[in-house]
Amino acid sequence: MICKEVHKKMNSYLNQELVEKQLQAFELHLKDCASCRHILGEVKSTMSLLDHTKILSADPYLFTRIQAQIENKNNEIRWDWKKVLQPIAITMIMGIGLFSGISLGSKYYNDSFQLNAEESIIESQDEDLYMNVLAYESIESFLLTEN
Amino acid sequence: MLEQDLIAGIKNGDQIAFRFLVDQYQAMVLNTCFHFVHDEDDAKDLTQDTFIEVYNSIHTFRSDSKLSTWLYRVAVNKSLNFIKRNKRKRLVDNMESYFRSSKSNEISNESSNADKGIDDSERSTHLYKAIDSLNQNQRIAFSLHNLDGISYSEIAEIMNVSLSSVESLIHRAKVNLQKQLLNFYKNNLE
Repeated sequence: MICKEVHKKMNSYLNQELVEKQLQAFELHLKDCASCRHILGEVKSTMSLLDHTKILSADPYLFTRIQAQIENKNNEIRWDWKKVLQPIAITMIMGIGLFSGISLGSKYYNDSFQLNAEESIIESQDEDLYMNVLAYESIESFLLTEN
Repeated sequence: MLEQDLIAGIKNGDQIAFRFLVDQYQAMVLNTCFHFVHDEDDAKDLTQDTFIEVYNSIHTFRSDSKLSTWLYRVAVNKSLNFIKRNKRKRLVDNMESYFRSSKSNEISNESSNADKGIDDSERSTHLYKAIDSLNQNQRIAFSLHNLDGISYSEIAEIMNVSLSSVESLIHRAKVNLQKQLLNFYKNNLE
């Protein structure tokens, strides 16, 4: 068996899937080939690390941190509501103000329009009266018939 | 405290019950997250996020499965989402470390055979890289079984797949992992 073949069969060797004849040839090659032995050794060593994985230990302050974060998130949510409600409230107040302003303004305008109309009627009546007064006024007829 | 009482307590906002849950399961969640992200600080943050998620969504837990199964599921999802979010960053880091390692390999190739020795921290880096390159389902099944020591049946529950699927996923993961390592050492040690 040559190195290339051994490399191909390393996976099967590691999983104990080689038949007797192949296994003998494989192991025979390993005896003579330091490079293949080295590669196989490294793969085995690396895979064996799975049996000794790093175990992290519990953190005694984790609960306190979780509690603080939950509280912060709740505050954020409250703050977010404030952020949403505040502009709505301001818009509503401004809208109410604008509406009441317009309605008050239009009411004043109508009142003053009516008042002006009445005043103008009175004034025109007064004018007519004066005109009438003039009409009733006696004109010295001798002045007209002087000639 | 019984599991049912514990769940009921947390649902009612009982802080003592929630504290009990955190104390009871934090090591399990922390190590599960760590075996996915391979960084202690990230694993701690993910553990925190997992318990906050559990606290906020405990009312959706219908007790169809064990509490630990649900916790594993939340922790795995959190870890996978974290990995996805950091994929771009990790890609850059991996490229950097790849170039660093090829540079160091060049240097080591120039030196004597004795310098070719690899220590366990390097080996575990290669191992984690090989695990990271597995497809998602193989990676979940393999990590949960080989690194967290969870039984096939519980993994089947966590992943919501059949027992035979778990067996097949773990076997294929192991074969792929060995292939990855063989290729790596073949290219770097020869």
